[in-house]
Amino acid sequence: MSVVRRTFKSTPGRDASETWRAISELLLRNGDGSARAELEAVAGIATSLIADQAPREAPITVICSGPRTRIYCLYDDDAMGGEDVNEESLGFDPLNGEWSISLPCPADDLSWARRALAQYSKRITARDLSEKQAETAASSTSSSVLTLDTKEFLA
Amino acid sequence: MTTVVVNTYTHSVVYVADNILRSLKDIIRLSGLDPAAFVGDWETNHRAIKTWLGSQHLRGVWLEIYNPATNALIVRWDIEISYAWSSDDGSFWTDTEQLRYAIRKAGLSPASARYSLLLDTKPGRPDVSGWGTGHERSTSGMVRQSLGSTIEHSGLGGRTSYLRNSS
Repeated sequence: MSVVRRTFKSTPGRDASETWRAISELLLRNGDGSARAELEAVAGIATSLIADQAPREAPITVICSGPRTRIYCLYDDDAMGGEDVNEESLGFDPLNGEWSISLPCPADDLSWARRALAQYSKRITARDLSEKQAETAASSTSSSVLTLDTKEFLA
Repeated sequence: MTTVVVNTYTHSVVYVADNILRSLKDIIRLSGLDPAAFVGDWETNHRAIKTWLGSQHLRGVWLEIYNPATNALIVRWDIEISYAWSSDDGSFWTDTEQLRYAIRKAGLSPASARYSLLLDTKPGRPDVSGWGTGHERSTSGMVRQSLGSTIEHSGLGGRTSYLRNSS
């Protein structure tokens, strides 16, 4: 499975609410009505986690039947310069088929955030942001980076 | 390549508005209450704080934690806005540890407690959709404990204190 990374500027380049809206627009490639409704329903919770700077080191992970998308956010001076920003649209539908979104969350906020998310969506969940390593390790075993074997290709 | 970052007042407004709401969410959670309703109103609250920080009409942000049976205030957290903005100093400052210490000192609120957000503004503020004139609960008999500056960017910031019963 291939993995695609995007990096969004957040506070103070744009506020946390605007950051979630920008991320949602990236994901809603096909403008799917039910997916849009779910992303909008959890906006306050996701915005709060973005304001907590949870996606600074641990990504928002989007899983679907195609490539996996990892979304990070930039903060402080990094969010004002913009040279590390990559908000380009994706070449695939990141919510194609059975999709799910995992939001990184500070451990102290996990209890209320999970409870609140469950009221609006079964697909959008929160995980302890310190679980990043486990998530990365798990995904690296099933991920592959696509490269062109020029020797084989030209043979 | 050398990168030059330019501080603007808008950057400071965004940073301070986001971190005021983040701090209040932490206060609610650390007080033993559920912040879900507070974050549900995030965008509306943020719009008002951002607008009135931008126009410099915002004097303070008050989080009232009260007894819903009597409507009496249990504790009120105040963030007083300081307008000393300068483009010279671009450091970011949000002191969550000081807040944690103060909240522990203030104590947990009863699980039945409710909270509400009030914004104290100067006269002549621009209108913000969803916001109108309201009234604060009585603080009679309460004493103020000050934490000092807890949020700041380039001189725009907030000084936090809380009011609680003296007994």
